[in-house]
Amino acid sequence: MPCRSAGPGPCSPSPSEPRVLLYVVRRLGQSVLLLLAMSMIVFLAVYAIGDPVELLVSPQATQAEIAATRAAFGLDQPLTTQYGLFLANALHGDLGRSFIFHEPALALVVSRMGATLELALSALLIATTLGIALGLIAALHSDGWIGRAIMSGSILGLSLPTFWVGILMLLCFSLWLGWFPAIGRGRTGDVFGIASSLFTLDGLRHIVLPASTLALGNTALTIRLTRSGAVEVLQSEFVKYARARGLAPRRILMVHVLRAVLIPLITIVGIEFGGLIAFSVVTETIFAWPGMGKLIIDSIYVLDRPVIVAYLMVIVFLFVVINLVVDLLYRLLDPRIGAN
Amino acid sequence: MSALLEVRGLSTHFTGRTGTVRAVDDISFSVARGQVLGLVGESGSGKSVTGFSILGLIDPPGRIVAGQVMFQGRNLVTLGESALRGLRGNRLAMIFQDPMLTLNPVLSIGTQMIETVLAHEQVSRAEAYRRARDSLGLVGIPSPEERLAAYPHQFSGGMRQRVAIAIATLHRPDLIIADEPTTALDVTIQAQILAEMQTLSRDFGTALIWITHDLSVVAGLADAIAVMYAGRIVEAGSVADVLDRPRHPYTSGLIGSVPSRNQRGARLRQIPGNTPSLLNLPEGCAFRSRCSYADTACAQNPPLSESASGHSSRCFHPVHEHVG
Amino acid sequence: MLTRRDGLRLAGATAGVAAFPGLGHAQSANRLRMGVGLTPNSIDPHYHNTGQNNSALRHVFDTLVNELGQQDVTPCLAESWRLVDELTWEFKLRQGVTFTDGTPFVAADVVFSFQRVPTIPNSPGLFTPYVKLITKFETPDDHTVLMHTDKPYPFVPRDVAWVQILSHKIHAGATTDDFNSLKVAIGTGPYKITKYTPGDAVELVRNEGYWGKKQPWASVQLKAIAQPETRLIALMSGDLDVIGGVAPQDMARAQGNADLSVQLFPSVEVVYLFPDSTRDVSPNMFDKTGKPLTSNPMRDARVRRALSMSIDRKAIVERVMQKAGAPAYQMAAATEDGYDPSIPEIPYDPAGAKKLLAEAGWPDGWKMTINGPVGFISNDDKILQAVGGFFSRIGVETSVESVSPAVYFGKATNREYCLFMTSFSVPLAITDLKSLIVTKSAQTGDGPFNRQLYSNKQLDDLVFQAQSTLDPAERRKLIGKAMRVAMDDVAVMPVINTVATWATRKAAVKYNAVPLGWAWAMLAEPV
Repeated sequence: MPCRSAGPGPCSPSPSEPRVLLYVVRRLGQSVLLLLAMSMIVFLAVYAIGDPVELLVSPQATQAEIAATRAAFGLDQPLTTQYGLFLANALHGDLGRSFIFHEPALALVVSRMGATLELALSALLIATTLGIALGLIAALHSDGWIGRAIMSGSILGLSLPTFWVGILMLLCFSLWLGWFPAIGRGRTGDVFGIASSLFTLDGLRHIVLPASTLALGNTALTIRLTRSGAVEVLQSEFVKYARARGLAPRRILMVHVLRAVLIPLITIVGIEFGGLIAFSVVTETIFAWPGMGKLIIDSIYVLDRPVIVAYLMVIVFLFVVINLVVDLLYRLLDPRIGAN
Repeated sequence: MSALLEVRGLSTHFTGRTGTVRAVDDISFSVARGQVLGLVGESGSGKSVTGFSILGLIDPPGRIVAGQVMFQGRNLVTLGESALRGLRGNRLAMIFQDPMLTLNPVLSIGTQMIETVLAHEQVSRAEAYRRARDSLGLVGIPSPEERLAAYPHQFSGGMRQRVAIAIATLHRPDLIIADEPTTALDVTIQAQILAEMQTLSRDFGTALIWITHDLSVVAGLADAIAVMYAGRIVEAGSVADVLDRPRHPYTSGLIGSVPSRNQRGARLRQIPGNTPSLLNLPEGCAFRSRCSYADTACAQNPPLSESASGHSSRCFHPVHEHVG
Repeated sequence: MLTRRDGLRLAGATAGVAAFPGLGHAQSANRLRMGVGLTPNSIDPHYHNTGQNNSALRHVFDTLVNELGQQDVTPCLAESWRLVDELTWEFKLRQGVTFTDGTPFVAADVVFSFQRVPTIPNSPGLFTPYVKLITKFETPDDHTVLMHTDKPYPFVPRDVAWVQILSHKIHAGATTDDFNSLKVAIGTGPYKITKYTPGDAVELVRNEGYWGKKQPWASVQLKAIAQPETRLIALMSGDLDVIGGVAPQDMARAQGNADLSVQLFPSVEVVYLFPDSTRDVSPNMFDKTGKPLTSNPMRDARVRRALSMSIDRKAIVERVMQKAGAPAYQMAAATEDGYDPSIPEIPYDPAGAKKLLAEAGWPDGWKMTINGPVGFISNDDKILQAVGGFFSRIGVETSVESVSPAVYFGKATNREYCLFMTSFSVPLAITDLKSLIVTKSAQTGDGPFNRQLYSNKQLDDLVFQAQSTLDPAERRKLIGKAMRVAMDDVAVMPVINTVATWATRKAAVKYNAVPLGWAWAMLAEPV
């Protein structure tokens, strides 16, 4: 609501702290419902697919042993009983133990989360910086060959399958050029108690190829969004006004245009980050990156249900948090939102 | 005394696939130091394009194809971009029609004012802040420090325009071009803004080009008036000359169509017809199709005829010949 | 415009980052990096009987004997063994062996380990079958173990190869979690484990106090890389030294690479088809007009034989497997104990097959769908397609359906398929028979994977007799006979033996593979 006071005293400032807290709490509360729904769906889905016991037992197992295994995993109970048990345990934070690894499923997923987050964050960084830079260049030279080349490139980036790109990266940069190692995660370093492979040179060398592969689609998307946003903004009145005031082109671009372009971009980037985490599966498989994605693929293959459920719950939670952060960032960047 | 701004034969054309729009066609006028010029015309007459042409803000597909814009002895048309940038917002400022569209909504007023200061002068941020604050005070905005921290959407329309004026006067420019600055405002606010501009012009000796479609606005404010039609100046002169003794039929039609000048209860006088499309205008007087005095002579482009007092017009059949 | 400069600056910075020196591929001296499809899902050697667990954990723990998929087992922690009497086997244990913390290896450890095997909770697949026939243990001294069975059982020396030996002192009361945290990952084997990332990698260092041959590798990494293409690229780029499992489509490239040495090694895996020979009506079988068949043609052995004869096994090996394989005519690989070379080849004879079909009363054939997994066996979907093609050529219009293993096996056990394909990998021919073809029984636990419920009393009798025949020659004759019965009656149709492929960096490593196909640093030697 526009401020109508022509007299003294400012209008209401940005959202007050207790209000923000309330908002966060409400959003987190909604996520609990989401988690519940998700767990039910996954349970049903995995139950319907097939029988994990067949895939687990040794070739020489006898009937009795097969039956015992089934009982040990509670797979001989009716579905509702199994789900009920699961819920009861989940309230204590126990999402069961992996059928395969016999480790607590949640701990297993969380232990792999660090590697996936590293990958997703690196990919996000690459996609955002490269995407915004190239998108701005494309907007400024939209009729020239640079602009057109960048846009054509972005279409390629959107349509090339991750799998193919990954293998190509491996062949080109690891095999032929020998610049980067082909597989795995590098050594981790410790900073403020957080262990991450981003803190060592060896770790950085290992992450370049998988992060670039994962970032490709997002980079292309960011280029296109930035370009179209920037083209629109460049033609807007306030850019003309900024020029009329004699501001340097650099300032106009980096402060006025970029800020305006960033606001809608933030929302997209936030959603994309969630997507990067969830869809790192293919990249992790190709580069043998020890993250959650590889874990879930392996688990789905052998129907390790506790891990599948735990993974999906963690993903849902991550998505909720990311969306929340994006919303808060949005309100921070655009003073027009949330002023009531 | 040489003029502050002298526009000679300025033509700005927009070339598209369908043809060329001669938005500004061979116009000439001058503005003296501290003078207020009212540039009047309907929408599409080329008055805004004139303003942008002076500042060098015409973007493709538009282009200044001919003419000179002499400002303090320098031709702005041939001046390089960085030199022009040095003048814009500094010696030559512009006020746009709707600051809600022209002020960046996600940056605070203070940020936008300070950057305008710093664009032209190497001072500290603190000093720039002080100047911004003082400028706001000068245009009559109370509690300027709180306003500096605020965002455009938190101001009313009139306030925003005052802010725009404050920004325009930050460097005490020699000339301000105001493009329909009061069109979007209530009449009472309009009057306030007009008064504000008048004060500033007097106090700082700032020349003003006031672009508007509303004759009554410039009547009280301007020293001189130029009337534009279809990209051409059809009449120019002092306010008294043009408003009391209009020579061009269009001018007299404009004056006549102002409601207050009509009899209560009588039908409002209008100029018949519509403004022509500027695309591929035919030769001759552009007002021909709507003029009750037009004849075959008007198929030629009427030359400029100027009187001793500086009252000029382009018409083969000036109005005063028909009085009586 | 200044932005062009900004853009160029960005490009320059990127190039700078990329020009890291490519040192990632250098191999430190005496470090072996092996790329495998799967790494173990636990460090507890009794937890889960899978190839990846067994092969990885044998670096850390020993067994009494080594099972390599060959005719005989070789000594490991047991120096020698003999039959004392019909129901007793005696093992003489190696002396001077210690666990890596110094604890000496004694006979009590053997008993402890065998008794621990069935007790592991929540195991997806125990090692119990290998220990349950041993009813009593005796340890007359620290280096002798006597194992008693209720009935004569000749396979004790082979079964003991599957039980990894723990210490009754160190591992008393140890849980699987204790192993996974590496707290009690202490064995007598040639290596020690230093790091375990589930599903990703295992790091080992040489056990300097090992009783056996000194290992050339100071450190070993077992890295799980699921994609065969990535494994090969990692090998080619120098990130790995040995890989197992080169995909058939990459074979040409691997073999053409001068830096690599590629070996094909016969494995114990048999790919076979299991027809429904028992039910009167079987699903997915139709007449040529599309109506479901009211009687099951495959109840007739002649029909089954005709189908088996229609398959050109050599062509499958040649074209589908790119020569990485061998035709199989019995349910055992040629290297295994119990393989009978006198069992004849199944001829590739489509004309003869058509005649047999006519003879059995099906001259015009029928329509059916056959099923197989995808991603379970190398080229499984392509093999099934080839089989379907061969069946169609003799008049049995066959369409194929391949689904993922997660869905597949449940359905196969539920008998939703009239004929399905799968594989079996065990080092003893008799196990193939016992698990797949012997009559399925819930009480005795026999025939656990006899999904089509085939039952042949003559075969059952032969197998059980062989199972208690202690004389090796006699036993092998009986197994051969049982196999022949199974093949003559076409209980199942073996198709091919697959081969294991190993590739190494020629200049660095030589790998001496074994039929069981495990990835062992002990089989790798520096060049």
